[in-house]
Amino acid sequence: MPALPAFIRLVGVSRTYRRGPNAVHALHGVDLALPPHTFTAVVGRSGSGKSTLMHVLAAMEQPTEGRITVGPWAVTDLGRTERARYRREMVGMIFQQFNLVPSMTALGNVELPLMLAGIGSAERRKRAEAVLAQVGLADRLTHRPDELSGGEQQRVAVARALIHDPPLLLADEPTGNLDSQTAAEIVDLLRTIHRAGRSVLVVTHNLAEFRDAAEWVVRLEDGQVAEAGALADSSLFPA
Amino acid sequence: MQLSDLFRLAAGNLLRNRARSALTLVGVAVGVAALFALLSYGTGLQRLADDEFTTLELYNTLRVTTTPNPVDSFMDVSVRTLDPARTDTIDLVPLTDSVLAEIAALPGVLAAYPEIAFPVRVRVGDREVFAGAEAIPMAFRTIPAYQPATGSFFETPGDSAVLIPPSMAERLGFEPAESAVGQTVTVITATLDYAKLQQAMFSFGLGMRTLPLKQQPHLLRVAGVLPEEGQALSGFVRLLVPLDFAASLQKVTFFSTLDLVTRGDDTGGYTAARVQLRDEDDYAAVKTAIERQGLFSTGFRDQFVQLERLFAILNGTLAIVGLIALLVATIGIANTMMMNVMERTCEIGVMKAVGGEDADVQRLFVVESLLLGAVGGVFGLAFGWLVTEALEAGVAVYLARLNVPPVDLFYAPPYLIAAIIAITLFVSVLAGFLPARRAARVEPIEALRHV
Repeated sequence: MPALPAFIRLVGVSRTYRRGPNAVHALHGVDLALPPHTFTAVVGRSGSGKSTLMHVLAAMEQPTEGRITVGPWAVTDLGRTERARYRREMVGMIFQQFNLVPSMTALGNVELPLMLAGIGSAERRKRAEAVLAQVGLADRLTHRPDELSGGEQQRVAVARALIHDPPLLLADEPTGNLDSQTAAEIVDLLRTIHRAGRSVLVVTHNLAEFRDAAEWVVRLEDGQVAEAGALADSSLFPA
Repeated sequence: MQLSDLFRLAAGNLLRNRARSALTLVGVAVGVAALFALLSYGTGLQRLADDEFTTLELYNTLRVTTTPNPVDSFMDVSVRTLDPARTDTIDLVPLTDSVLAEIAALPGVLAAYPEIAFPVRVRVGDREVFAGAEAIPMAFRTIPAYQPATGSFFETPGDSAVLIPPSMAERLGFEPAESAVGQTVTVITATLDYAKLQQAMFSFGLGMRTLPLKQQPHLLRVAGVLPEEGQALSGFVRLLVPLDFAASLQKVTFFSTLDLVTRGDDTGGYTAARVQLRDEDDYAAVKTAIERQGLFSTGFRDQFVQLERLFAILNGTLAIVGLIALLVATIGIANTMMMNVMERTCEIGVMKAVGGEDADVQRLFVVESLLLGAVGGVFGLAFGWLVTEALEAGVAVYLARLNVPPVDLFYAPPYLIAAIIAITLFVSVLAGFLPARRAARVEPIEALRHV
């Protein structure tokens, strides 16, 4: 791992779940530092802790131990309300299941983060239309999720993640529910977003899809970092 | 989140499950309608009583007796009571004309006159009405409630004339009621039949088969028809006769045997007298002055205080029944909100994942609950109003058959409507609070995993 100023830093991060009498260590003493403006792919087998890593980075759950900083935010020191503000200001989230609000149109879904931030409807609409056009859905503004294809729904989710212009985009298996062609389109979209100056961290079980997009790779095994570094140097893709 | 967005989002969420929201609204509407109808009924009855007391100036009326009124003792009104140990030693003050003249001369007294009330039958042709006759002094010509709406007040204290309410005029066949003015009616009183009494005295040892009474008809002129106000709540139709003329009539003055057993000792004077005050400010002074003379007085105002207490109990009881209906509706709101929270747990997770705070989520569900209460409340008030109007129309039809003017049984003053709205909104917020709090406290990642 190069000694660059870290944008994302995890020090001794553990996350343990209680499952009845048993303790499951989803993350176990994770130390990680990622420079700013990188496109990072997090890989690993099922249960290796990929999604948990993303969730603690998004402050959607708290680590049992350790310290996380993202940019100027000491994520592990934040209270509930501050964590919400952190997500609102710093993070854009993309999920495998899209997680769109079914009763809202594409425009409504994309406007939601701005609505929660208290931004007026005219401004919201203007920005949402622009970002939906950016992801190629200018003609789908008033469509509800069930009227859109899987790829279109994921594009709406990407637009929603971008609407508040966050420095960090977190994507949990963003292509997991898509066919290969649509998946490639989403990867292209994420690459474009990264090139525009954002840090992108993608959790995936299919690194090949991100081979051309990702610069960094983090491989997790049993909740621990097995490998972290530039994708070009990774053993995952030997030359 | 801006308030307008909050309400728009909440309304949209409620519309997503129209059937559930509609059923909850119906529950709230029925609860609010019940509360509205019951409270407006209690308030309506109270207003009727209040109006009659005000119109007839009963607040300014004292009833004077030689002995304590047993009804007063029963109602716990503060009156002078005789010491039981000294009953035999007290000199009862007779209510004579001279005593009444002294009372009439007190400052603030409009009139002091013997209480003369007796049952009568009023007949015109083949139509007949039972009524209570009440004697009033000429001084009452200045009290608006006793001024005829049509015709004129009595010409002299001995005028053989009556003032009748419009409902009685109509029941006697005068259409319109005003046409009764100047007409003659037959007023039949019950009086002692001296021949029968003499016969009864002779045959007393053998037992008396009938009461020694007979009916005495009197032809009286209708001087005027009274205004509608202040006539309905009395329970029976009332006609007014001049005091001196009433005193000269042959009649028995009891309405029931209760009158006989509650009547005081014979002091040689009147059984009771009425004192009408010019102003309620003189009430205490006049009452004290009367009691200083060894007489007993009861204010209708005191009775009204008792009546107010009874109305407070009645209204309280009605409110409890209405609130139970509203409580059931509130439980319906809470149930709906709980189901909404459970169904939309994943959506709550999305809101939180994109930056929503606990407070945003809580506010959203509270506002949804509030909207259910507000919309249900508005429909409930409208429904309640329709119900009370229908009931009032039904009562009016029934009363019309009896030729009794309609009465406003239900009354909902603005403060009552405001209170019902406030209560409904409050319980709606309360009903939504716990589900909303539960929604707010859920961890975003747990919520997103919820299917």
